[in-house]
Amino acid sequence: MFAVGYLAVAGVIHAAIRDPLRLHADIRSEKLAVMDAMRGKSESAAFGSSHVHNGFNPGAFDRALAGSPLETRSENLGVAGGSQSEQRAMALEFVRNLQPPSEGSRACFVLLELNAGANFTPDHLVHPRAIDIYDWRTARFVSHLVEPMKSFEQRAGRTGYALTAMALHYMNVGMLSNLIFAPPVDQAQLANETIDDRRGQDIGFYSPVREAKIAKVIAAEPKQMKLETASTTPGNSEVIAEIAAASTVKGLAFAYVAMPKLGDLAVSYNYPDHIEANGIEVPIVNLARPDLYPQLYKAGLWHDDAHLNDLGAKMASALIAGALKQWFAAHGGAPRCGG
Amino acid sequence: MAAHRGAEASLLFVELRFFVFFAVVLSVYWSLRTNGLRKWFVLLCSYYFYGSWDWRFAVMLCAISTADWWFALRIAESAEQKRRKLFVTASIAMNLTVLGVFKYFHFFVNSAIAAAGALHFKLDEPTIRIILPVGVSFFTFQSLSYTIDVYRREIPPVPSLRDYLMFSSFFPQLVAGPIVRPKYFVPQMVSMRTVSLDEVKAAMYLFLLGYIKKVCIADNVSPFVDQVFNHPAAYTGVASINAVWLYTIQIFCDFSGYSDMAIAVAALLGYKLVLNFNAPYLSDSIQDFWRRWHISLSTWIRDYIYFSLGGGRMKYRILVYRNLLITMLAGGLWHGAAWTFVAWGGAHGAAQVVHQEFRKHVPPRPSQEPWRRVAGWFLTLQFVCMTWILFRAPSFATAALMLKRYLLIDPGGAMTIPAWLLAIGPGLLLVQLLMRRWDAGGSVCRLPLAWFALVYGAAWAFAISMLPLGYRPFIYFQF
Repeated sequence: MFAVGYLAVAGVIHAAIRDPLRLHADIRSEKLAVMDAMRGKSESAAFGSSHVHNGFNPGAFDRALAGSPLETRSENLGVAGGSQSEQRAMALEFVRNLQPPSEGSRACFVLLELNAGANFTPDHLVHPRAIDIYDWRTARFVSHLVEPMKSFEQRAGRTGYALTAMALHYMNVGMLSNLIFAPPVDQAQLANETIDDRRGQDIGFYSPVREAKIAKVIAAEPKQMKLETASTTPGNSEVIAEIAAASTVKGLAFAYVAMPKLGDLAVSYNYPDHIEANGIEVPIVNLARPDLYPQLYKAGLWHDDAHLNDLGAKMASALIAGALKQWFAAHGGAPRCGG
Repeated sequence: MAAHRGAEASLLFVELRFFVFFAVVLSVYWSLRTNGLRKWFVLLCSYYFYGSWDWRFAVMLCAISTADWWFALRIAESAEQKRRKLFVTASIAMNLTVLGVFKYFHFFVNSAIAAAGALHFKLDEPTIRIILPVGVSFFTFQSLSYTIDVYRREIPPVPSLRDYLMFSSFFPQLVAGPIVRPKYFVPQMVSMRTVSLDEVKAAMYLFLLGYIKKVCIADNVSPFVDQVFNHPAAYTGVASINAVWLYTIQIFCDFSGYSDMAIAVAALLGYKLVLNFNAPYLSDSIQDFWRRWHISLSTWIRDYIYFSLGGGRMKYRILVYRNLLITMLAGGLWHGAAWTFVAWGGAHGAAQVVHQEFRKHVPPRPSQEPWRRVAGWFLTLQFVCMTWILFRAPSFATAALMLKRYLLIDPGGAMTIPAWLLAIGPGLLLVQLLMRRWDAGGSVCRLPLAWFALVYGAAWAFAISMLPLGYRPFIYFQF
């Protein structure tokens, strides 16, 4: 009878909370505010974790594509501390509210981070960022983010986290509190992401002291990089199909991006050139390859050992744009975005 | 703050860790066949519980308790009054030294530095930082009452060290009360404890009520209180009134919520603890408030400070008022090592003096009873709200600013907090009145077991959805 009482009330409360993604969650709420503010003003977005949050400069990306068939106006919807599960939720929210560009010849990019963590870190498990989004579809998606050859430990860890978060989600842990007593959006953080037309990017600033520290980190890395082969997961393809199906506009252009870290100087991963999803080929731009993009691994471009500063972000974004131009030129051009 | 020190491993009543811990405790405890084994087990659990904050303080607690147990035995066996006095003085000195060093060291040193500065002497701040052991005020007062009661021949000493250690470290009430008197608790340890189904239901109801108070109410309003008290200059007068009312709710729900859970946890082990709160915001006078707020502390300071000073049996009324003020100032200082707490205690003491004088000159008449009670309730609540400003503010400057805003003397800044929050206070008072009138607890506990489980499950579903995520220790842990 305890369970009956519990489930009945939990069910009613869950049904009453219409849009869990919109419940307040530190860091993500500010990004959702950016998304809302940019609605109708941009048609492309980059999603992912802090590597994107710091390392994708929408202005530089747009400038590199200006005048090409891929011309677009983008925004940065990466969320610091994020995961594949969160970028999926953010991307779905973005495309559900996407308005087709008024000029007919623009591309609508959905740039997803390939090497973001599948789940949040364990200390985020009991946190609105995880609890609010882990419905059964998310848990199912995360359980498909396992490479076939990977260890039992990885499978159990990822699936276990997802199932626990899902249980907390359907128990509504903290959700009603969040709805009634929602804290205000962090205006200082929001200003940081919107000032000077940053469109969501949180800039890591350059400083000579920081550059000297990063130079030491780079010098400490092994001289010989180890290149390992990595594969994508079924979940990486499924999410593309899911986002395409949820979109209000047709002809989205998808791309996966592997963002760089200084650790790549020791071990780097060789991903396939593209993945197949829903009958289309989705390019993978692998910036995490010091042998292919040595210009990115200079001390003056880094905020810390895993995040680019603004100079680095501008360079990385231009490189992504350049790689996409090449890819789509070789594969019949980018799809046109339309209602 | 001490409560943050071991925050990651500590066993807070509202956290999953505690639920797991207590489930293990209950299942092992009730499967043990002898009272002696059960007492050993509770003792072990209590030290594990306290050690989860910092094991060094568990060692200190054990040392203090053992010393007090030994002092009490010496007091009881001594026929000579001088020796008895010597041992009780040693016990009092030891407990007050522990309290003084761990809780008041920085307060005394900083006060001395400030006083010297006022006289144009410059003293350097000490580099030593002393960490406050969680619940130190509670367990030292509890230990003190034991040796004093033995000295006063009100109770016999506890012959078994194990029993005394269990009394002094009983985990449900160790870190934030209620302060348990030995004459009430020790006799319960003599026999095997049992609980009936009705008692279990009552304890489960009380635990959930405490959880709802702490988690669903206190923890949800605390961010708004912090916002305003951290930047009082930025907020409007209405926001300040809102914040003070919310703090009035927060401190009651936080502390009485803990007490409810402590009483419930003890009851599930078969032990009864004293009632610590009795709807204090429905009090119709300041005396009445102190009969309903933190009852275990107010009776402690009454019995061991006020009565020791002579209480009300003084030749001149002014001396009675002096005793009252000293007692309330000590009560204020007990709460925290800051002058704002002393001022808070002093304000409550002064209010009691004023109220006693008022009653003497304007004695109540039966015809005035209803409106006088309503007026008394309103004035008491307003006074209590205003004095919570002293209790919550980090400094007198902040308190003065908040008070001006509260009284709308100063228009204040432009920032606000949601105005609808102003309705929570009156709403909760109404709920409390109705729950008392309809005996909500009794009604729920009288339900047949299946229906009780249904209602209980439904209430937990609501409570968990109202859990604000993040670590918020109980306010009274710092005392």
